[in-house]
Amino acid sequence: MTAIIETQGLVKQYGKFTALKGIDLTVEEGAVFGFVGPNGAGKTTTLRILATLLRPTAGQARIAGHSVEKERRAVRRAIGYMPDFFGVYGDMKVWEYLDFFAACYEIPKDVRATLTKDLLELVELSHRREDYVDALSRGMKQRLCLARALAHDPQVLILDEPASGLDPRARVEIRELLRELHKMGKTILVSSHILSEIQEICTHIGIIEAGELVTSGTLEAIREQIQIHRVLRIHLITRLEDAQTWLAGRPDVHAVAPVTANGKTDLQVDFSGDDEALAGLLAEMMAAGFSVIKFSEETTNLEDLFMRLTKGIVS
Amino acid sequence: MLDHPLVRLELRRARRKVWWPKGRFSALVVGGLGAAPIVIALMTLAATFGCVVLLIITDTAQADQIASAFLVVVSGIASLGCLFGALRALVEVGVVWIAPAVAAISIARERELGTFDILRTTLLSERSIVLGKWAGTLIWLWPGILLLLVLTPLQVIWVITNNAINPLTLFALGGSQNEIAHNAWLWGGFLLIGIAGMVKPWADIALHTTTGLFVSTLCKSSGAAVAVTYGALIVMRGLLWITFSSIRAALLTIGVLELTAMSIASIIGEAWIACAQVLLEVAGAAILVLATAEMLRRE
Ligand SMILES: Nc1ncnc2c1ncn2[C@@H]1O[C@H](COP(=O)(O)OP(=O)(O)OP(=O)(O)O)[C@@H](O)[C@H]1O
Ligand SMILES: [Mg+2]
Repeated sequence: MTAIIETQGLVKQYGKFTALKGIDLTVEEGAVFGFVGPNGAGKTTTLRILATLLRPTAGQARIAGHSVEKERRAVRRAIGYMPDFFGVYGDMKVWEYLDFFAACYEIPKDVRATLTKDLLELVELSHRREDYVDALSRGMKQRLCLARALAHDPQVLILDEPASGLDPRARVEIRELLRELHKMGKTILVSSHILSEIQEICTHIGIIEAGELVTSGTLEAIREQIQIHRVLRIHLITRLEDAQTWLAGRPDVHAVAPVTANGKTDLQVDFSGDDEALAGLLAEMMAAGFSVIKFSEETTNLEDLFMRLTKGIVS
Repeated sequence: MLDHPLVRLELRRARRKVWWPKGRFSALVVGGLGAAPIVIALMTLAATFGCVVLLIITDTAQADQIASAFLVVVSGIASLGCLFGALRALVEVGVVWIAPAVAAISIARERELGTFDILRTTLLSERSIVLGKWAGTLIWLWPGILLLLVLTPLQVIWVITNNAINPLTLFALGGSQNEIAHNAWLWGGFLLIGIAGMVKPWADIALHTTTGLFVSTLCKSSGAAVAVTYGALIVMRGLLWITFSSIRAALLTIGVLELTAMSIASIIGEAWIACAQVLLEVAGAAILVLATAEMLRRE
């Protein structure tokens, strides 16, 4: 696997405000990289730099081996970019819109007709071919914009919150489309502030917050990170202190502490291990004679990891 | 340039939004109306040179009669031309001062709509975008541009056909070598002034639209872009006027230019000043195109 997008110490300052504080991002060829972070984390800023629309204050970024600052044309040829908020030329017909951008990508006239047809088929807009762009729904416009970004058959797709403002059905449609593009071998860098929304289609995840890349890696690696520190809540009828000492003596438990909520005291346990180890722990507790009546995990998915990693850092 | 995607885009839009000759009949009407001034111009030219040739080949006894007959014909046609001249002046003012607003809106409007970023990530270079937007501006002004195109040549006609100074006429009437040479210089000077006058509206349009484009890349809203453009143009026009007025005033004081007499030096001087202003405007427009592209690149 070779890296197709690479940034080194990417810094962007808006006046005195530092929006990016040295981002080192690597996206491998063929990956679907989910770029996740809360509002104002710097996702759009990073993507705009990669799309050659913004110049970094410091650091470097390369796409398909080309510098986004020095070889902009080559980078533009390699990427299809979809901004978070975008307008469309509403007074054009759907096919004209695609034809126009195909022309902007220097695609010869005789190829454009078939290309437009194929793109419309891909995003399922063939039946709206002769309609004005203004007459399309938001979801359709989003798909049209995606089709536009594919006009020159780019290696890399840079999509800034492609599903924002869409209803659940339209979100699913976009997701399916991305899955299809992944199958076609495209590298996709897609941002979102909702992790659960893109974790299904991503092969890699990067979490950004306040201009810093908190963590990044394959989905499995991130999941493992969760398994290393799983937070459990255990409620017992009696022998709370005994259980605490018993748990603290185990090698897979890093910390135990009683927490009181609504007048009831639970044990909060920092545990490392997969699901089987978790089931084993419960079985052993029962065998040891502890009267467990509640045994639950606090962080069970990426969303919670995301919340934990990013909690409260950004206002 | 006609194959530029932005140009084709604006052509398509303009055809939908403003009136466009549709069908063979309306195209014929537009073509006919457009051709009328050109036909008049050609008729004037033909009459002039036809008479000159006649004067040369016939003997001098009949020359006076032919000359006066010719004058009647030419002045008849010329008065028709006058009508077109007034029309041209009107159209010129309209196009020259509406064009900057259209140009100022072009890029700022794309920014407002959020379409500009997408355009910038395509393979169109910054300069290509600027040139495409510039051509697109002219497309929206097509009726005015077309009228100007057919009406401007009339301006030169009177110079070429001006009987009093036309050296050919003088030669035909048997003027002395010195007189003919003198008239040739005068005639050349007037021709240059005429040509400068003919190119001037185009130079104005070029300068005004490129100013609009330049401002358009700086402004976030199209309203602000239009306002700033007109402000900048008024300042620019003022500066141009002051510059060339002082040059003329200086030349008048030292006696190179004369207000009433038609000396060769004076006419040639006026011709050079007219040409210089046109050249300056064209150069300014070219620099503005490059500067606009450079600003987009730096952004
Ligand atoms: N043009 C600008 N001038 C000044 N500050 C800016 C500018 N653009 C972005 N910022 C700031 O930079 C930070 C990062 O913004 P960015 O748009 O990259 O965040 P984001 O992760 O895309 O957020 P969101 O999820 O809301 O889209 C924010 O604090 C924002 O206020
Ligand atoms: Mg954003």
